[in-house]
Amino acid sequence: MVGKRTLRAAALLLVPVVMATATGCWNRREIETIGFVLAAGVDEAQEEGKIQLTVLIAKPFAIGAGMGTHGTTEEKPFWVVSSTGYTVFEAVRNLLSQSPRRPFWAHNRFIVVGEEFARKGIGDVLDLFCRDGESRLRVWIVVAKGAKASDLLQTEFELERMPPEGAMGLLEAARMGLSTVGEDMLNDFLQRLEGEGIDPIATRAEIVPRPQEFDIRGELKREKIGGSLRLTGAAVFRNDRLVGWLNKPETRGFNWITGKVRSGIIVIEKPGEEGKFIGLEILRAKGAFKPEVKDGRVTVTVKIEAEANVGDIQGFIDLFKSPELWASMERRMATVIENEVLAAVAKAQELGSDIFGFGAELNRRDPKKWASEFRDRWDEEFRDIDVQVEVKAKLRRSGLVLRSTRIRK
Amino acid sequence: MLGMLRRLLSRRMRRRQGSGQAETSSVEGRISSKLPVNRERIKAAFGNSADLVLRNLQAGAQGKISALVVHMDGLVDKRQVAEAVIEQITDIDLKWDNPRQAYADLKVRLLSASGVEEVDSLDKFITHVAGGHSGVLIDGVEKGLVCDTRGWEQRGIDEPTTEATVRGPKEGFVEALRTNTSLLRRRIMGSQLWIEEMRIGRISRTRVAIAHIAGVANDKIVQEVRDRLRRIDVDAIHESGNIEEYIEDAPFSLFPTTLRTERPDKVTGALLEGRVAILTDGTPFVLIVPATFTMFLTSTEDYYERYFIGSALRLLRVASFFISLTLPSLYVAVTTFHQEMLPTPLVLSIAAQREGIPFPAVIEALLMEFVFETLREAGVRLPRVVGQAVSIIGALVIGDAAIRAGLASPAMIMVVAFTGIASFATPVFSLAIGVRLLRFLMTVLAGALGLFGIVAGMFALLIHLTCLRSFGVPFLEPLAPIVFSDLKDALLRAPWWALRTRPQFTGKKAPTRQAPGLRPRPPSPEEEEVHHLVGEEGGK
Repeated sequence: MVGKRTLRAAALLLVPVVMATATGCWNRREIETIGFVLAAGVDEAQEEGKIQLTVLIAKPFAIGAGMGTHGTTEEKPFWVVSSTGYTVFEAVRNLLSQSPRRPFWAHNRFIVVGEEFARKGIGDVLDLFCRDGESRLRVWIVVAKGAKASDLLQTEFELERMPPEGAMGLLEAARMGLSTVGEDMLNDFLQRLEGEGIDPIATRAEIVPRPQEFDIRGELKREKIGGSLRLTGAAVFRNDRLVGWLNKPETRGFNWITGKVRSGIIVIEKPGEEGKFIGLEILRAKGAFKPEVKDGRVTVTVKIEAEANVGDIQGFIDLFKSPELWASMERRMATVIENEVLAAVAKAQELGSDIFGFGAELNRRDPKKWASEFRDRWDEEFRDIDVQVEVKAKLRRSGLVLRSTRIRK
Repeated sequence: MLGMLRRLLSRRMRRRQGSGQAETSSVEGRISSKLPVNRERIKAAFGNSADLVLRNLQAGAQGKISALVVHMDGLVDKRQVAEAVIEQITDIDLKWDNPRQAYADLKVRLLSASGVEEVDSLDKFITHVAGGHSGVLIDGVEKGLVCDTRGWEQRGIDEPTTEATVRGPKEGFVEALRTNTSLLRRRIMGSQLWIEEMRIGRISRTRVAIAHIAGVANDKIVQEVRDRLRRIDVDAIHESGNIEEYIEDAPFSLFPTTLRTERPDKVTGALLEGRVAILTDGTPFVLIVPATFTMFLTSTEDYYERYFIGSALRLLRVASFFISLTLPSLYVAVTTFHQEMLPTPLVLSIAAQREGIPFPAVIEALLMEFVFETLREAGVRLPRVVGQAVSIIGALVIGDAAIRAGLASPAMIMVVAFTGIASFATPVFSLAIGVRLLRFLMTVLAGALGLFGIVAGMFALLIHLTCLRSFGVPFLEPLAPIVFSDLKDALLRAPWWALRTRPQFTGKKAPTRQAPGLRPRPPSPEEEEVHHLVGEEGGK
């Protein structure tokens, strides 16, 4: 007869065995059975009321890793495929009828939205990307100016085989070196959507058609490179609808105000010489604004502190002999910054979209006044705000020389 | 669950107790006064063994005194037997014809040989002879003399093969117990080094020595070691590993709770921390108790190289301990459950490598681990010349053929190979092998549950480790329970001048081991002045 204790011991022994074998495949998936989505695009489908979802899925075997027997440089390492559905989720699931590998969203970097679709509002398509556990909140939202998202996803880069990698490279360069893109990703976008007195902003991208005569030689013999992608500023939203665009200087103006300028080149006219320019490299920048209410009117004071180095000078300058030029260059630099800021503000006011969050700041400073006076009529009020700009521009160094090379005639 | 197993086993063992045990024959009785009787009894006791040498000698007046010299061939130093025993017998003064007088005379003369003992039980006599002593019996005397003439072939002191170091003594223990105790004695000249000996094994009569430093070691621990050793009642002790299994605290754990070493400097270091060493005749491996986890990740070299090098090496070993335990399981978990955790280029690269591999990652990992372990085992056991061939084939099989055959991905080979190397970085083999077994378990857990499985496994392991004791000392001391003063010599090694106190659990009896303030520092101004003056005077 088997004793009670022996039975209990056997049962205890069975527990780990059962645990290890009976867990099923709740989310076990071998890495090679997954389709890694690196970018996704949303457009209107041809059928009324449906959404067209386009995804760019990586083809690992074409990357050329491993023994080098799989991938060839001629094969595209990605696959762009579209599906439709009434909701994004349905469209995602419908992808399964075309893709033998289940799309996996954790490595998605971009949500691209076609301009037409963006103008009708994108709030509904973003829900899945924050509700789903796989997708990340650190996804860039890109609006394709004058194009469909599916077309933008077909673009390629000369220097990167994987287009989303190329786009990431452009974005990093634009953020760190030019300050001409918005810094906001999906989580910021959603916060701005929800916030009072603030409107969302996204990255603006355009397709640059490849010149016909362009010929690719050497190893790269890809049949069809449709076009390339270029980042050209920011897309301005009002609530969740696209209402307009900021070009590059305006976008930098926006970044001055929000304090997001990291670097960039400021070009000023050379003091005392027509047609010659000086390039200044931004080193550090701080930006802050303060909305105030005076006699029922809102005035915003924008304070910007910027430091720059002299990068290059056209013509001859001897800073050792004429130090007064230094101050005059700083004044010109301040003017350029002020103009950019004012241009951004003017554009935003024209579009009626408070992308800077002046209203939100006002709310933070004086919630009662905001609730009683401005909340309901902020849209009109924003258009009439008076913006004062104070720029403190400082030039630090002039490179390795004080005196330009003099060209003898 | 282990407790259950233990209970089952112990019940079975209890049942067995009381049943007959192999009778070990021993010769009863006292030494007879009649020489031929003794001779026959000795012969019978050894079953007329071929290496038993019995020599009859006639001495004294007209050769009236007949004597018998007994020794084992090969165990005695023949020159010593000839000079110290046989010559002394034949030199017995011619005037003696009384056996008792001759015996008394001989007893005094034989003292010139080292270690003479008088025995009256035949059993004792035979035991000594079996141990390499020479026995002398004289007809008409019911007592015997045994003198220490031991001397046999033994391996010379050599560099320890399993614990090589770059810096530090190159001496290792050998198989002979006395040589081993001398190696300790030479390092600790103070009389505080106490070595007591006992014999374990009814048939093997193996000599086992317990060494400790009087006044430093905890008496309770020493007594506990004595008690546990005395408990061992077996036929034979073949190696210190046998003793280990009879005295360890956690016989069902994968982790050893005694530390084995063949380095005398490691033993003396441990002794001076208040630990106890158990030396077994016939093996170069000495056991150190109590043993704690951090000791297994320690090499003596840590104490000889400068402290930051020692500390860095220890951290490296800690890292490689965790790597050898978890790397394959982490790889399996991340590639089959948590693909979002890897950077995009890496995940795509791994996916590309796994393209066309027929097995799931967990099977691939287990398979390659199995191949690796087989190769390792084959390489250890085979003769050195053949072993090399095996490792070449192994490298080819593992490194290249498996990938070409599409059985494994390069990343997996990389993981398995690195894990293998990391497991070799653990200085003590007995810990490394336990970790190796656990690694398979972790890989299965990771394959079934992902990181959750690994976390569960690590928790179970941690609970187990914190429960372990080695002779009353918590196995994870000083990490759990945390003992701040001992942390200076655990995962890091503080400079020697900062290692003032002995470990709390073993060295409380004599808490400090050096004077305070030994850190080298520049001379104080007064001192400097003195130096200066001395210098000037010297100049005059």
